[in-house]
Amino acid sequence: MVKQHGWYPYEFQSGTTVAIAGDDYVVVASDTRLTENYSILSRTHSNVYKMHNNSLLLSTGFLGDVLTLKKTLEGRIKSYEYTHNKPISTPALAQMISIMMYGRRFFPYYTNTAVAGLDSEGKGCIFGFDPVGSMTPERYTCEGSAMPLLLPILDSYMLGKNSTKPGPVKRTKEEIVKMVKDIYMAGCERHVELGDGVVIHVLTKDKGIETDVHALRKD
Amino acid sequence: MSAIALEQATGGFNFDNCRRNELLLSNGVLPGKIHKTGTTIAALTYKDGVVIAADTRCTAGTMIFDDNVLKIHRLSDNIYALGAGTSADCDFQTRMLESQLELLKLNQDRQVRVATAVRKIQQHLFRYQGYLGAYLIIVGVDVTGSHIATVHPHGSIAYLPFIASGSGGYTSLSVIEDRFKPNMTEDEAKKLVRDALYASTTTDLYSGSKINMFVLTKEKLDKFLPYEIVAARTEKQNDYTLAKGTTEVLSTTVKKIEFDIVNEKVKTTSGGHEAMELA
Repeated sequence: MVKQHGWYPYEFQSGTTVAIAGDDYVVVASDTRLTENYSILSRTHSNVYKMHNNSLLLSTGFLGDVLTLKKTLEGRIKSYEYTHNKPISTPALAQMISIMMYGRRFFPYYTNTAVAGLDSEGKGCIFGFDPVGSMTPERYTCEGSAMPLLLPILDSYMLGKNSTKPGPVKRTKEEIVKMVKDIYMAGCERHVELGDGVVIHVLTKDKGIETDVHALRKD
Repeated sequence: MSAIALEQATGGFNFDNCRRNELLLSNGVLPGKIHKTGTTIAALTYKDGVVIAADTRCTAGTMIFDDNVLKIHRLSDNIYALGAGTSADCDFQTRMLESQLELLKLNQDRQVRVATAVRKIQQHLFRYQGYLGAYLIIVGVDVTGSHIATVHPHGSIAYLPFIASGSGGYTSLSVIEDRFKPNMTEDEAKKLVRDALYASTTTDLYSGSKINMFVLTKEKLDKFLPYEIVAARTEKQNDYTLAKGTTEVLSTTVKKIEFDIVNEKVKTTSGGHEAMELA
């Protein structure tokens, strides 16, 4: 009899990210818990990576692939800058990620990725991806393990989806930061992989990236 | 016409539903998922009796189903059980055992022993070949002293001075094993069990929220529900009250409700004047 061998190269290591774009800012958040099966591998691991050009890369899933994706991307950004003699814009970076991911169509990077930054006018812009490179521009995204819990709140808060007149709701970045803390707090009440802390980055044209860390429950 | 007296059951198993279930499966009807809880339960003996503790988290997959579950089950006044594994099995098997032990106590007119409870559930679980997913720790005090026994779904048992079980069991057990010594004081024992549970509630993803603890001796039963809250909800920073009119009113009808006056009373109330002086 032929014995079947199973080899699964991936591991799901949780992480939940949120990105919200405004007219003159973008707010990016990630929880800081890294898990594997029943255990916590780290309580201080953020899933947001600052890229060379002040864009923020949000990536959860299999950490090995997240780090490889980031490393490869950093190399390609440098190469882009040497070739074109200018920093790469966030939309161009998004396009680059998409192409890189589709290049691994049949052995994908096992990641939920998004990229957030400011466009040439200083407006917040976000692009979300699936693991094989499908790209969508977005006003807000939520990816990772607790996405099913957090995304409906964002739909309601950002687009008034539950009201009689749905449509974009204007929010200040202070409001957004508070809301992000609240939804992470609410999320870790109901999801075992969410907890320990949430790191929130606020990106504006004038002030660059401001970072704030907020504690969450540790159990 | 149906018979007046039903036929006496012949005993044995009934496989009537097997064909139906197979048909349902082939038509894509899937059976519901069984609820298995990640848990930490721990017990240890000390000088005067036993200390037991459990976390309170109940999960369904990665979702926290309930944050305040009692995993300590009463079997009799002097015997308690801690349950891990399939939560329904733990609940129902301990409940069944509780009533059996009560009847036994009334029949014999004396307190039941821990060994009796353990042997009863052991033989019951063995009959079910491990299909009852109840991982139990049975503790108690009786005429022969204080005891801790762990019972596995297939029916194997062990009497031990201390044990921990559930998904956080290894974490807790390592803490207890490090610091356990025979004949500890009550405070030492409580501290050790608390530390063991704290370790697992914070490191095991499927254990958490609160630590419940019971201290059982020949003289008393102290219940700490909870002994400690490991993590609690924090205050919200924004107000999310929805504006009036968020839910659309599609139609309105006003109906008169017909009623009869059965009785009528007129009452004077004191102190009503202050409320009237508004505006």
